[in-house]
Amino acid sequence: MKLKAQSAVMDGIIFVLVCAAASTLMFYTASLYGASTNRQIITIYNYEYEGTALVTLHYAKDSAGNWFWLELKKILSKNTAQGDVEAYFRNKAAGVWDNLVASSPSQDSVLYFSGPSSFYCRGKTSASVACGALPADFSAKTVFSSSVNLIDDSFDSWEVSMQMYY
Amino acid sequence: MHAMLKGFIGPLGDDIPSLLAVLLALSLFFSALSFSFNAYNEKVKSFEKLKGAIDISRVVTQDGLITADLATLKNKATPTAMSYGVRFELAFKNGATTGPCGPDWLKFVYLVPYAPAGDLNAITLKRLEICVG
Repeated sequence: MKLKAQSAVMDGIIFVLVCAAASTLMFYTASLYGASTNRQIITIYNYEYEGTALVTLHYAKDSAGNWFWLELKKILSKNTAQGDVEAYFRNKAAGVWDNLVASSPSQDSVLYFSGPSSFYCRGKTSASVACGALPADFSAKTVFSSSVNLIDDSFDSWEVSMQMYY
Repeated sequence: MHAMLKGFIGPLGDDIPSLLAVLLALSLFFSALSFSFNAYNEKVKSFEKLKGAIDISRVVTQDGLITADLATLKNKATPTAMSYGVRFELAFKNGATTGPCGPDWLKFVYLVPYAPAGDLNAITLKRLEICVG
């Protein structure tokens, strides 16, 4: 009888172990559920934001009352594009840059110009905009990028990408 | 014989200690199951809110240039919000708003061109905040 009772208790303990293992697995699975869906939705939002921002830039005007995109095309048609773009963002298009950066969900929003040459323009404010290469630590960050082509008869096409780094 | 009868419960008495262990195991398992279901339901609600926010944002910003006032935009996106069972409010930063956002609402921000009353000479860039709860 003693042995029967002992074996029954042993069975009960093994059952507790099995249930504890199953419960742990369930807790783990419950914590994992939806993690990738959450990431996908955040990704969609970032791309939606960039698309909307690039469309918005088509309606933007600089401080001289000129359409931002048209002025940018004129600047990019010159050989001194990088320096001129930087000066444009610091001066006439300062308001456009400040709006772009201030509303961005990312702390590091960058405009990447790719064409006959390529350079990045970044800066937390229009006064601190600098165009050139990206710092090395940016390569380790997650980036969302959307782009638009600027095509004009007077120059080879440029691609302007808005990139948000996290 | 008399010594054998002392404290003798019966065959069931042998099983009582193991029954305690089984009951403990079952309660542990069902608690974990209940917790998992609650976690799952909460996450599903959260995804519905996120998806709703994305779709509401698409409806509000689909025209590119915004010429209508915020109340009209809100009416435009209300059927989408109702399909997800969420509430939402629109606001221009430091400007007009359709209503206050709740403390735990999600907030999505977009940069949009705004032409009040369709005046294309008065287009400005605005920060549009869409909060969903």
